[in-house]
Amino acid sequence: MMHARRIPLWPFIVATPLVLATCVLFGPAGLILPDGGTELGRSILILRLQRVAAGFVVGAGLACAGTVLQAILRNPLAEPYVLGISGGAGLGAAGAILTGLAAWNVFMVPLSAFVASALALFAVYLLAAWGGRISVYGLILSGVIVSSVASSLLMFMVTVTPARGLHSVLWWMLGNLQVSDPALLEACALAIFPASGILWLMSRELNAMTLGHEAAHHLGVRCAVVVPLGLGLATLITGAAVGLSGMIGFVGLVVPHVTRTLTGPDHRRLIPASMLAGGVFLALSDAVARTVLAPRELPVGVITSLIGGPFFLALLQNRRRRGWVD
Amino acid sequence: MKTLSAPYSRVIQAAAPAVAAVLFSCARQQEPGQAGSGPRVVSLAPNLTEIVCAVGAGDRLTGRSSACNYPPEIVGRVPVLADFGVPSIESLIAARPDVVLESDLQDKADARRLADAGIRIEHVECGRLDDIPAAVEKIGAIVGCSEQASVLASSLKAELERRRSVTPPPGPRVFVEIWDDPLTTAGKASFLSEAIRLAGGVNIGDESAAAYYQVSPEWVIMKNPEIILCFHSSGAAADSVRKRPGWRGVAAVKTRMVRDDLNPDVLLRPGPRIIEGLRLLDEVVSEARNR
Repeated sequence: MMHARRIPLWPFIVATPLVLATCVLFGPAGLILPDGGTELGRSILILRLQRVAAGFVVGAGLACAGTVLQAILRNPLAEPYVLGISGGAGLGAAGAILTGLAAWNVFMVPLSAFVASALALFAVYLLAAWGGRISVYGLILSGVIVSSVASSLLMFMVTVTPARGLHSVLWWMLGNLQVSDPALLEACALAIFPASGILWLMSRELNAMTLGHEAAHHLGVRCAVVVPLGLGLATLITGAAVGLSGMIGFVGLVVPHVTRTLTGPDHRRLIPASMLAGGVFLALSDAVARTVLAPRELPVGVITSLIGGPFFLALLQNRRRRGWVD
Repeated sequence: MKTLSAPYSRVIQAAAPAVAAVLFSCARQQEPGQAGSGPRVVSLAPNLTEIVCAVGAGDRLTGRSSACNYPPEIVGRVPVLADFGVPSIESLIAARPDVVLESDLQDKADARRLADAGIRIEHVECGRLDDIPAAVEKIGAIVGCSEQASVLASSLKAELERRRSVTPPPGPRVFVEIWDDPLTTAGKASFLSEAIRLAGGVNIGDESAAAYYQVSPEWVIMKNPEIILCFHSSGAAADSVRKRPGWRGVAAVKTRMVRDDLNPDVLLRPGPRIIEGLRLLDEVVSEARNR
């Protein structure tokens, strides 16, 4: 792999607060900061700050999980949802919404999404470990299987239940960063940032893993510990992110790739840089989602894919021109 | 029979006493359970079912959608042959109706499928308030109750005209909450928006030309509505709105004008009971004006 120039970490650190502050200005009424002097203005400001914070936390978490999964699975298409986590979480959340558990307590949807995603990862791991050593291919294939089983179950639930809850399920699956309870945001941040910190401390091991598990083994990396720990932490992060905001696609796939071309593949720099980039990207996408057709609100997942898709294509094209072959 | 006309007594009172006599006589001619002289009708939408019954052709209903729940004493005996706007083609063919009425098919191709199976299907437009009297007349003609239908239609028209001729002073701002997650409201293209205007309120959702769309809580708080009408989780919505982060300062929450007790079947259905719905809105708007 060839890199023209590598960007250090500091521009990311400088740009993040600036962009996030700009995002707070974006509202359905245009680029205006609400008046903090009135009660309503304060409410609006708090809601907006929570939303920007949720965008940053979720985006950073998904980008971190994506980076780590791409390293461990050695697959450019790996993303936070590849190991059946999304299917499991979707099933859990839809179950909570359609059975009426969601109406009981605001924590029920995130909690059941989280529990179901952990169960899905466990199932993927069991399937991959069936009859011998766990391989990367085994993990990815069983991830695909568990995802498709989960989505069939989800479709089944959606068809047999009355239409009233359906709308909520669909909207949830497209992602929504409006925080229903600030405590939920805190809980998710407390899961995502420490887990990301541990993954960052594993940077050297992850660097070795990108060479292949065998090579990593010969470099003294204990794969039997690093692989399950890395996958487990990435699931924890993804589960928390999905529980907070539903399924937001593209951030965990595109942001790590883009950041890697900018900062290089060293995880000591790549993990923090892609977390900052992911957080900023999602907060910005959400600002667009709530502004562009105001007062209509668009699902943020639509914006991330619309912006992310062409960006990713341009990047691939650029790389191909530079003779990138994997 | 008396049971047939009773559910519409409120509409009739609202319209003109003369309608009652006509409806009553029509109902008496058609003893429920006896085959009427008109065609066998299947309705795929609750508002169309209400219109069919209101023009006195309830006994000709041979099928309905699962959403049709009014008037209960008639729809109780009519088999369910479809979901709202989603016909079960085989059940419909087996029921041998002469005509199928629909206002909003989920899959437009179903109309052609039914026509191919030799079933006459009639689309009845019900998007705006003015469509309702027209729909009543059209259905009356189809089921062979034109006389009663035209009386009902002209009374509905007269009521709408009367309301349009008086322009009330600019009234309270109304936020319509069709659904809470995602927060969904009714825009300018919805007939509910027209109904709110006729009752003297200002629908804040009119900012978008769409019929129904999602909004952010921030936008609602910014608009500071004086009335919030919730059409979901009746009985519990007012409490949950109050508990939402940031909503405590909204005028409607402060003055306790978050209403979750209005019957969505009356207000969200473009049918003959809309007169009753308009009166409910009148009450809410004047209550808000007095606070």
